[in-house]
Amino acid sequence: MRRRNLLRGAMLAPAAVAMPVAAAPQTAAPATEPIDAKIVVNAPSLTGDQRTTFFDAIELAALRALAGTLVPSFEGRPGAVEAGVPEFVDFAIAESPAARQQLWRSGLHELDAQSIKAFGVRFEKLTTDQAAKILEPLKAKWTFYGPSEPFAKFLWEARTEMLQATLNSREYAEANTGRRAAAASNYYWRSLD
Amino acid sequence: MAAKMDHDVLIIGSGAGGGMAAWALTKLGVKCLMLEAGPAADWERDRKLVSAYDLPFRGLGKPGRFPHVTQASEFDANMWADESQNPYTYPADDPYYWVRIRALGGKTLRWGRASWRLSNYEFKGKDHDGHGDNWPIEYKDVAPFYDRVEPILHVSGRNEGWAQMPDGNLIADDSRDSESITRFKAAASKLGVPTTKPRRATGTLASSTNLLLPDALATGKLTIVGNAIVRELSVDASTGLVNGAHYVDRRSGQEFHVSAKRVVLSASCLESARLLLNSRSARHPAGLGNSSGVLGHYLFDQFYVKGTVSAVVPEARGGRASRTLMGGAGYIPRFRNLKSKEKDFVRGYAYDFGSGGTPSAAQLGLWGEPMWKALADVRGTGFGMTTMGEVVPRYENHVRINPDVKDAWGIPVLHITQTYGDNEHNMARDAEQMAVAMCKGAGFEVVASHAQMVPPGESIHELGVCRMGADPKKSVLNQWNQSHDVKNLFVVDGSAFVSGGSQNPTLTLMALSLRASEYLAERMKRGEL
Repeated sequence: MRRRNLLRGAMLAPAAVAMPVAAAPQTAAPATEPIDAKIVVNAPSLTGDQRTTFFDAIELAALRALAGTLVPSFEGRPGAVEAGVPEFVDFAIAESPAARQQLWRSGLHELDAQSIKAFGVRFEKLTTDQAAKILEPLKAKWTFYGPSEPFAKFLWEARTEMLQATLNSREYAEANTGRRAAAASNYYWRSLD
Repeated sequence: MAAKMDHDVLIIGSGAGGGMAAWALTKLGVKCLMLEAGPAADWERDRKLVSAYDLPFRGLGKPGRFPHVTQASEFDANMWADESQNPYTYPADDPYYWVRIRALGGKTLRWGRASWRLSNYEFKGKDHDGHGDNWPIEYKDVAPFYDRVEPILHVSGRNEGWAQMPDGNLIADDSRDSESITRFKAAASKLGVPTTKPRRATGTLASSTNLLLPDALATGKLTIVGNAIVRELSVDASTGLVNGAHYVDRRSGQEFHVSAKRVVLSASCLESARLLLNSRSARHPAGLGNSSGVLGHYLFDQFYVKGTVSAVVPEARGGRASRTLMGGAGYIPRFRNLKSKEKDFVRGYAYDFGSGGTPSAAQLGLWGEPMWKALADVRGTGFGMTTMGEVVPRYENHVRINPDVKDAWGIPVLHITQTYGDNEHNMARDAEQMAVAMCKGAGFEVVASHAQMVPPGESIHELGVCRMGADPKKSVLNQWNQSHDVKNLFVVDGSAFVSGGSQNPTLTLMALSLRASEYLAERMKRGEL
């Protein structure tokens, strides 16, 4: 046992050193059972197609087009679409605070609105050059807190989120096997309770 | 039911200050009880190696879970204090980022380990430039304790003989610099800017839980109680002295009281102030030890400008970022206003710098295939600098109890007010200009630079709300971290600081905790406390 883990056994519960104001009912400690670590259980995302729940069909079409434009597949490695990023973003935004949900929803609407105004079609129908015109705010000089104008803020956040979600995907990690870049991995801390 | 235990000193908090107090007191034969608000982490049972894609949010974290903890990731989210259970408030236009860990060891489980001594530029800052206040002690009073704490932390670094960066009892860092670091140091030197190696605690953890508490437990004189959230300190109505602590079992909500002859408080800077302010009584109507009215005031930290400059070493482009050329890190101590007032600000700032990162897609202003190509071209070519600036304490930066908001255990929370002023903003702009000049002097391509500070608190160096002082009417603690008003109460965390320079505070607060604890033990031995 490592030295620091001695501490766990040394630490007492709050009731050990003082009298409680009111006594609590005693409960039996749960029985522990052996765990077979050899059983491999996969994550739900390994099979089945994820159902989107937050964005509507038009918004999703814009989201997929934006993902494919910002983070395309490159040199045999998957881009955002191949890495399931649009579906992931739909999930992440559904779980986000209301202000962020609004930022992304209005950002996607603005993406289509500007595309229709400039070229007469939604963003998903634009050519690469046409899309570049709409995405001009991404060329602005970098600042620590990013742009404050909502559409520019949405685009900057989308680029960062979609790139990182791609790099952290299973698809990207598998395509990268043996290459320099590897999927992010680290120690995950369970709840300390 | 367990019988009430007998102990000499009650220690509240198990981090750098509390752990140091337990280490020092128990070695001197003092029987201690330690209350810790959180559980103990088991490094083998509580963590496992996983890939980001196996986490629900691909490692990016649940959106909105930690609005004020930019350091939290999805991997370590369960380490940080849950803000929904531990709320606090601040003025609508002045957000404060309070970063907390509630577990045995406190923030020493996650600290950056930088271990710099303060100098008399800090302890006697007012004597030097007329601003702020002096500490009631000077460097020579603390130096012997720095000498003893540095070996405990296994601090490595390089002694340079500079007055603003006193030499330490260090593991000598004689490692060679990469070519990019060497070039940068030469460019800094041409501008009169000193550079040195990082000075940091080494080892796999460098925490209270592996360096302090095991030794204290080995004496047989320490009892640790976890999940004990202290609500308030109790006071003997006749003497005004502290005589115990009311606490709550974090999990069950049961209320307890433990008696204490002496209390060493080290719940972390702001939690200690909160506890004292919540400990009102007829003898101490404004909070325990607050006859001066200063308790909660003079909140400060160090302002951070993260990524002040991001540059590229051009020779490393295109996959040529070799280990000879790239890699390594260093530190620039304060160099402004040391001999005379040079600029439109007082005091100064320090930098951390490092070689070998990669600029972001946002900094490159690209997307699509050009982004992929550019990222491949600049991989490993980056050179970055972060500024840490001194914040001169001001009375108006303060904490108070917000009686309208309570935490999950019904304890009133803090309302925190801290803003940066012209002095800090002027300093940050100077830091940006100097950083750019040094990088350009080294032949680096500056990709981005800025002077935008992170919000107050985000540096996790909050200090000063129970400040030391020689005058009991203007301070909370005396030169021994002892309450002016309540002689059997000591506060040994960052709240005792009078000023902080640009140096990371952990080493100093540990040295002060060691000093105060040995003073307490000596007074106990003499029967004076």
